[in-house]
Amino acid sequence: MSPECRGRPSRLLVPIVVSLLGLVGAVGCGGDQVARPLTGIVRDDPLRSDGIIVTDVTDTGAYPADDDSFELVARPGSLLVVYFGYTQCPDICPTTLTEIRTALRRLGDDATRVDLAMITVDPERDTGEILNAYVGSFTEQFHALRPESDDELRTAEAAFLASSSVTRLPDGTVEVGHSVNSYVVDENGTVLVEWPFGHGVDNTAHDLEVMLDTSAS
Amino acid sequence: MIALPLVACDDDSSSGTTMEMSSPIEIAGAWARSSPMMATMGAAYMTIMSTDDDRLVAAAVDSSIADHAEVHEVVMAGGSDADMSMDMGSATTMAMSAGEMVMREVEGIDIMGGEMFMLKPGGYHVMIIDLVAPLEIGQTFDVTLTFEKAGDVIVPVEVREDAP
Repeated sequence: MSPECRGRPSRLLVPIVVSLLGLVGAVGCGGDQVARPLTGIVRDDPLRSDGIIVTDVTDTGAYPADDDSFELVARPGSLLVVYFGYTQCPDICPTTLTEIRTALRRLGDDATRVDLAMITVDPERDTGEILNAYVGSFTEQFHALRPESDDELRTAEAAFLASSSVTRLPDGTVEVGHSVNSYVVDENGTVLVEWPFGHGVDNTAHDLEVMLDTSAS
Repeated sequence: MIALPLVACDDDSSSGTTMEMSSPIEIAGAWARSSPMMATMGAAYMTIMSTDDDRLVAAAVDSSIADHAEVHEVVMAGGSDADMSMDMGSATTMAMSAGEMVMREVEGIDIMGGEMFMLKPGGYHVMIIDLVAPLEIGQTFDVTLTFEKAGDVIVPVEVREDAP
């Protein structure tokens, strides 16, 4: 059984295997060549994020905000990767965003059709300046989104069945919990696939290639 | 003294302890992720092996690197416990119930003699708190791990984009 199906691919072999399969546009977990072309989670009844608006504080990169709101849908012909996190996250967020960055590099020119929207779950500490610099570390094509109210954050999270919490402890430390998945949204606001934490560069790149091929046809 | 795959023991300039036998602690594959811009926190990961049972109780970095370091774990927080019981241990469950992960300091990590203990992304890590400057690829800095029995072990940590 191919180890990559479980999201824990061998680092040596799978990059070669998966990229070949990705170009072909289909991958199987063991003999199943067609039924599950994406390695991430695909729902029969996909989540939707059209109509979900988050305050946009992007002032650098490819998309400085003209107005201060962004609807969570991709540009026509493109994909939008959505991630909820915070910049003081030392482990989960850099790990996931680095995976996305590395996957984007593998796409070559096709990476121009993938944008990243990061929604901070810790808007109090993640100012616009910090968020722009942070997300901009991973790609030029990003939207730095900073909810202005708890309602705004919860509405966005609800669309993705995500959640988060920021707790200030008596000793002054701040404990932030957040769901750790990434989501890929198309131009209609359909969530095409969801990637759990640790999904891996190979699976991420593969899925992006498949989805880009599909939307180009 | 520490042993790394590519570094000789006598490279280390630890506190004058004379080892007649090799140290019970061996550290392999120590790395820290390079910092995104404006990141104030970093994380170091490594594999710890000890010939004897021991307990990692503290971590430290030089003040030129950061304010201080702590040992942290990442755990699934409360939230959708009902969903979690459906199918424990699968990545699908984590996504379907969107359980929150929380990072918190741990008082110590028990290291079983003869076994490897991995600090890795998504799990335990040495959290490096309030970085003086972003960690840059190619940089190396020391993390001092304190073990209950073995005492201080200095670990050179390589800054990389991703795991070795």
